[in-house]
Amino acid sequence: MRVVVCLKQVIDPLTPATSLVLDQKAKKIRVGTPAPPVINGFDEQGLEAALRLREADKEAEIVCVSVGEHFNNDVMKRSLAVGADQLILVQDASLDTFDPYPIASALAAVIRQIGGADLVLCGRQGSDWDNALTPYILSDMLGMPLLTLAKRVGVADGKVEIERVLSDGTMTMAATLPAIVTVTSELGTLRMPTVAARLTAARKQPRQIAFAELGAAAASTHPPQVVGLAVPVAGRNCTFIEGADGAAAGARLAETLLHAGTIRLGGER
Amino acid sequence: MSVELALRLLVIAAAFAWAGFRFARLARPLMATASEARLTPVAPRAWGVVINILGHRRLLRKPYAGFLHLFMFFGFLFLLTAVIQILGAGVSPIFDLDWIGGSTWIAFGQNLFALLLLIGVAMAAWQRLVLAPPRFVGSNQTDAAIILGLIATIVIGMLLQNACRIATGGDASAAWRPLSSLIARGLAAAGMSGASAAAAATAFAWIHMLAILVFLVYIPSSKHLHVVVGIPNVYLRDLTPAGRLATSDLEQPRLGLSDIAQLGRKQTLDLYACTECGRCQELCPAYASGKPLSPKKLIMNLRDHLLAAPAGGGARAPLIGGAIEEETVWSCTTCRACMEACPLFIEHVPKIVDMRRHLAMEAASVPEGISGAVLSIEQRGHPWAGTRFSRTDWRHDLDVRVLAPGEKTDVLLWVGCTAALDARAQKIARALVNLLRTANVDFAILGEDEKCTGDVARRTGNDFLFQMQAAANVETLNARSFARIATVCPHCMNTLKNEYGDFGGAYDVVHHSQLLAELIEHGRLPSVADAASEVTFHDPCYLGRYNSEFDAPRAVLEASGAHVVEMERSRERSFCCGGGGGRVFAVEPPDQRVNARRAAQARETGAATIATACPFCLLMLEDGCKSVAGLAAGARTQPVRDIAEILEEIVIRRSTGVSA
Ligand code: SF4
Ligand code: SF4
Repeated sequence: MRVVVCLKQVIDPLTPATSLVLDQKAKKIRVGTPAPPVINGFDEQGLEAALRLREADKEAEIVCVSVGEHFNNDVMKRSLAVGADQLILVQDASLDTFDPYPIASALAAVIRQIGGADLVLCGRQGSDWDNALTPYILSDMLGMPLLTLAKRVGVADGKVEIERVLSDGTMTMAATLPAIVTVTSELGTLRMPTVAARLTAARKQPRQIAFAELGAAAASTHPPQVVGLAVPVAGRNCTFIEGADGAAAGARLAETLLHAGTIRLGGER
Repeated sequence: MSVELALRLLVIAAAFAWAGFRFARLARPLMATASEARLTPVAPRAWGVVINILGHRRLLRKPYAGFLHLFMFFGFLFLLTAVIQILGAGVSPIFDLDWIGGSTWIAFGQNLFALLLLIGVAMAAWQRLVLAPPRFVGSNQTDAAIILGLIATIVIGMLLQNACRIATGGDASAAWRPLSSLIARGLAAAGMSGASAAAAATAFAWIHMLAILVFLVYIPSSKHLHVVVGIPNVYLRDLTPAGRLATSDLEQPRLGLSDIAQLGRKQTLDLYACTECGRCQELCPAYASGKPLSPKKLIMNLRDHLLAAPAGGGARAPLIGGAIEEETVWSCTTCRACMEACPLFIEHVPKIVDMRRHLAMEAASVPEGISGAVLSIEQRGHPWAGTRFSRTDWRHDLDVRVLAPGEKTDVLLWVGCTAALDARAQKIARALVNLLRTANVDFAILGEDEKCTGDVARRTGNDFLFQMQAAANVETLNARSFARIATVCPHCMNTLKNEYGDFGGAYDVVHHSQLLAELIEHGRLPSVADAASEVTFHDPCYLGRYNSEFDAPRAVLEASGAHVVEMERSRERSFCCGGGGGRVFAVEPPDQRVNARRAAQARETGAATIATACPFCLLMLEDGCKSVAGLAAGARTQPVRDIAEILEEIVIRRSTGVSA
């Protein structure tokens, strides 16, 4: 079984706002100080799902694919350190974009070029633009069924079965392979690599595929436009919630949060 | 040859053979280990033996237990003459020590020290049965009772043997044995003399000798083994700086400790040396807060695990997850209270960190909060994932010079991740900057080029990451010129000063408390004479126990017009805030929080302010105070402040002319 995990290199979502530089001309977000990027956290969870599948099926092959620009190889090679068999990178300036279409198109082309996949795992969304569209377009391009928001992924008898997270519980879904699955945070974080695996990974090189070789579509015919960028203004407001005892204070806290719209009653999303 | 002599010979030979067999069983795993090459330098090592073994320095920190041990120790030492006499007489009827005073001063000494020993045994029995300090919880009490019983039997047997001999009327040493003579007079009054006394003397001689032989055979499996390995263990103690952990060789196939056979020789000897006295357990904050770690049990469990399987063959149960739980390994704050207290210089922390090294680097099994912090060090160069600040935001309006490569300054201020990135701790850095300005110190910071020193990574077992941090920081530092480094955080100070040497970084490093104390002493910062308020000071482990600095922060407080009231546990015996060893990032179960316990201790002093000199301690204690105050209805929280903040307030007040 070949499992392809799509990884995206993103700006560290924990970069403090004061370190962000907005390029209003190119409509891009940059980090002012030299801080390394990270692998999109949701995608890391996709990789974790793949590693867990391989614990059950030792024969499974894990191929990580990433398309984008300015790759930091040390960062991307973390995928090899935790156990991926292969890392494929496609670099092109056109792939550093808000538009999910060329990204999905490049991913689909890579997957076709390596001879297809039995299972494609993606994070539920990218932490940079939060579009959550690439897996949908990819499923359409590859003609594979799409199962979303998995917190557990299992493969048996040529089928993938997932537990899908709902606001008030989970639902079980299945599809015949090949299929695409997106995973969500509840799946758990990516495991830590051992030092031996890191050292081995450090000696491996990612496989680079030239974008031109893929014959993928460079852009949508009418791509969405980023009109402007702004750093949200973070404000702080401190209120002391008091009550006769812990329980009363807790109830008042819940009420306050409810009124403020921070939380909602069960079932609503 | 008389039958009795033959019997004595046989018994002695059998006992020696048996004891030899039992000692050899202990020696085998020990000799199979790699030696740490700690035989030299001889002079300081030997001097340590003199003051700690003969002088009982650490033992006497507990006067009752110390003196009872002192009595037993010297009693035991002198009564070795009696052991030589009885065993010598056991193998040769003409053996005696008379030619060196066996029936004069040695006889007198034996009487005197026997008395001392008995007093010691009685005090020890009283301690075990009546005082019963909690430090003995988990120790093998039966073993202790057997040992005390054997010692008492040996001594009483000897005294009665001598008394009976005196009662026969034919003992030349009678005049030198006042105690035995006194007993002899009692025996004579009871009608014992001549043949009956001689027979009784023989009987007591047998009891005396048999007790000695039982003792000899028994000690290899007893905590009393320390009579043999105590001296070598103290001699071989670690003489490198307390704050320096050995650097892992990452080229080795095995990283960290996952198999007991990987322990070095002194580390293994430690396991034999433990007396189960519990001095370590008594001071351990992890144990006190109900976590599954007692440094004493850790050593005992490692020892039992080592001896559980035959050396060199057979499969042992796993070390981690078997003999020692993972949770136990992660519970330690590396506060060093245990090592500082141990009379035998047993090294708990290196063993714990070594097991963490296995977990972090080989098993990749690290608890949640800690793994997040370590990953953040790797990804962002600091452990505070989620901070809303960049490394230089704290000084946005202060215009602090950032030292570029090739530039020069007198004092390089090493801010550290916490003081740079935590909103509360930033106030320490800002206060310090104001003080350095007031004192006209030429200083600068590294700005964005400063990276986490790696203390958290190293002490949570990730020496791989620590070494990367160290190499990067050394490169940054060596590209700039400065006379010395002053750090906000004691952990940074410890690492930069004691651990960067292995990476080509040799610096003169001081902690801000030391720099401030020096500036006050030289009159560059003002000092207030009258004590206006009461402040209690919490000693950060990495400033105090690890780097022996207890006075400088107190001097700064006194210069700030504070009267320092001490907590019950302070200075060398200070109780950790709970944040060391990476535990500031760990998820503490609500009922096992070390910081809440320390905060309660600080509040008990009644001092208006709780002072400390470490950003981790500050955050931990502030948090602890809030939770303790929350528990006591209507309780008010004392402010927790860094000594720099306290001094700055005074200095600013003075310069703006506001009266206190
Ligand atoms: S270093 Fe501190 S926390 Fe760790 S075992 Fe020793 S006393 Fe306990
Ligand atoms: S390790 Fe040291 S302090 Fe702890 S019980 Fe053993 S001998 Fe006593």
